[in-house]
Amino acid sequence: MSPINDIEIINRVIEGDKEAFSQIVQKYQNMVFKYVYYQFNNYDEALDITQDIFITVMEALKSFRQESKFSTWLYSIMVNHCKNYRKKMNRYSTVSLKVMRGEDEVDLQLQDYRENPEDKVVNEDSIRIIKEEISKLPEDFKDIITLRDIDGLSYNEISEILDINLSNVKVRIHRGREYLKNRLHARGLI
Amino acid sequence: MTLKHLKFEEISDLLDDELSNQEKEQCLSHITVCEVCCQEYDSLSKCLTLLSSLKNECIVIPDFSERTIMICRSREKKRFFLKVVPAIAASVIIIFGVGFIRTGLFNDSGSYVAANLTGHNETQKIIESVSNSNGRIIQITQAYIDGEFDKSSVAAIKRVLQKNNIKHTFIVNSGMLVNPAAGRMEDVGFTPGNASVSLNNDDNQNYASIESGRVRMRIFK
Repeated sequence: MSPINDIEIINRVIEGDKEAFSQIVQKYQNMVFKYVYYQFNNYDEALDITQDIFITVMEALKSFRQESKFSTWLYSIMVNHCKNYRKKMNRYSTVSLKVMRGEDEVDLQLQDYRENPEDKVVNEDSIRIIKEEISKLPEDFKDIITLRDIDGLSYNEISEILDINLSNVKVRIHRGREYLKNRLHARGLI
Repeated sequence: MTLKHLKFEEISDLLDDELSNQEKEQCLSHITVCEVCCQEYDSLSKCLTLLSSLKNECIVIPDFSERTIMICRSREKKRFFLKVVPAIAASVIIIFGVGFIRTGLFNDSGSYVAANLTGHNETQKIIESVSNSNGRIIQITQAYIDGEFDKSSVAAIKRVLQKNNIKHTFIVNSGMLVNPAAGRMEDVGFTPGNASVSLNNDDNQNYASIESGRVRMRIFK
C-alpha cells in the first residue's frame, strides 16, 4: 500500500468512516506488535500495548499534520508509548511468582501453550536466541536496532522518530550492533 | 589497501551502504586480505541477516483490528456522553432557571418562592385567594406568605382570611427604598402596620401603598 493510500484512509477515518481504520491496523499491526514484543518480551503485554497504540493513533489522527509519512508518525507514537509504559512499569516493583513446596520456595513456571507463528520458522533455535538477546539489549540499543535492522527504517526516519540527531543515530546503531554481535558470538550463533 | 584493521563502525557503514565509493573500495580491498576483518564482516553480516529475518515473521493476532475498532468506538461513545450529559444538565438548569424568573417564581426583591409549599392546604387557600383578587405572591416562607394586590381587592381578601381564621397584617415598607438623606437605595426590610398581628381587625388600615393602588399583606399560616 502506498503512502497516498494511507492518507486517503486517514481522511476517510477523520470524516467519520471509523471502519476504514481497520485497514491501517491490519497493515501495521505486525510491525507494531513485533516492536513492542521485542521491547517487553511478553506476548500478552505486547498485545495490550499494541492495542493501546492503535487506539492512541486513532484518537490522535486529527492532529496528524501530514508533514511526515504516516508510518513515521505512527512509529513515533509507538516508541513514545513504549517508553512511557516502561517508565510506568518501573515505578512498580516486580514480584516473582513463587510457590512453596514443602520448605522450599520454587519459581512458578507459566507456560504459554498458544501456537506461535515463529515456531514455524526453519531455524527455530537461532530465532529464539536472537530474540532473547534482543530482549536483553540495553533500552537505548533495543529500540534503534529494532527500527533499523528489523523494520529496515532509514537513518533519517529513525532520527525523526526518536527525536535525536543523525550522528547520534549512527553511533547508537554501531554500538548496538557491536553489543548484539558479541552476545550472539558468545552464544555460538555467529 | 590499508594495513590497519577496520573499525567496527566502518564495517557497519559498509553493510549499510553508508560509505562513499572510495571508502567502500578501500574497505572491501582490506577485507579480502585481512582475515580478522573478514571474520568481523561475516559475523556482522550474519547478525544483520538474522535480525532482518524477523521482519518477515507474520504474527497472526485473531480479530485484532475488529477488537481495536470496537474499543475505539466504545471509548468515543463514553467521551460523547461525558461531554453531552453535563451540557444537557446545564441547559436544563438554565432553561428552568429562566422559566422560574419569567413566571415570577422569583419576586422583585429576589426572594425565592418555595413552590413546593403549594401542596399545603392552608397555603393553597391563601395563594388562591390572592390570585383570585388580581394579586401576586411575593414571598412564601414556613411562617407566612407575602402578597400584593389592588386596594379594591382588600375587602374580598380580608373576607376570605377572616372566614378561614387566618392572621394577617399589612406591610408598610418592604425591600429597597430610596433614603433621601443618604442619597442611595437602602434595604429597609419589613415593617408591619400598627396592628402587627390582627385578626378580623377592620381598623388596621394604616398600610402604605407600595405603588399607587396596590397594597402588600403578610398572611400568617
